[in-house]
Amino acid sequence: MPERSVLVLTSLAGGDRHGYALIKDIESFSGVALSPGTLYGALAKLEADGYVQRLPADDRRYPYRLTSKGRAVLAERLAESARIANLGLERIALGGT
Amino acid sequence: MSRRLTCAILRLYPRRVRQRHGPEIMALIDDLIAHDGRSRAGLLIHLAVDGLGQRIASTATVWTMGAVLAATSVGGLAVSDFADASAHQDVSRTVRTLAPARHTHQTPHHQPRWRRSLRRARMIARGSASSRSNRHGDPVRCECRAASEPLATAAAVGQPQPRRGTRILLPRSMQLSVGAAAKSA
Repeated sequence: MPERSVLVLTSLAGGDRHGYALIKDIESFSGVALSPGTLYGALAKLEADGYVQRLPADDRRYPYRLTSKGRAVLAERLAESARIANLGLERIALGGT
Repeated sequence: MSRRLTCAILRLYPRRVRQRHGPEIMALIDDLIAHDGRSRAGLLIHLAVDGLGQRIASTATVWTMGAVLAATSVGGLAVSDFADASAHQDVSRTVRTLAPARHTHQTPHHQPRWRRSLRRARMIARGSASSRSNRHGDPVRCECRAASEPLATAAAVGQPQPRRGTRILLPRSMQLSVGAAAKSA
């Protein structure tokens, strides 16, 4: 799963959001500024995979919600990232050159 | 003008993204300009670059799938031909061709009865199979050493002789004896 998809799923794990709110949230916790095309390309793929669902529109702005399948995939992916991060931190702490 | 330009740039995106998320992308661009003070030109450039990237990725996926499909088809045909050629390799030794062959494309399973009987007789001559009787109950013993043996063998097992002009297939050892017989004649 691409990194931008993980960022989108992580943002949606905090609640339903539409495009602008997603961009601002992702920028706040990761420092990554997604462009509109990148964001909606990722959302289209995630929606096709069943990880997010589009909610009824508020004007032209559709909120998105994380599905249970998307939550499970995100949890698995973040656990794997955490395991690798912990391993790397342990090795750094042991003083590897 | 800028809306038409945005619509034109959105055409770079795959249809799936463009049709489902096109209005949302335009609304998001309006929001970014209104709330964040982002420049429209910069956003449109990023939009075009992303659209091209997604279009290339989408097209590459289609081409990759097509290439894989074509490669597997060609590979399957090649394996099939190789297996077919291997099945014929021990049988098909052409001695002579008096006229264009009629049965060269037939598989062993669909060969005429006289050719299958000929093969059986060759196996008996090599000692790899026991002799058997013909349809009249007479024992059949084959000594495949003469040039006329294939025709004699076909007659011995009770099958009609191949007509003149039919390609006769023999193993390599028999080709040598046939060639020597032809020279001596």
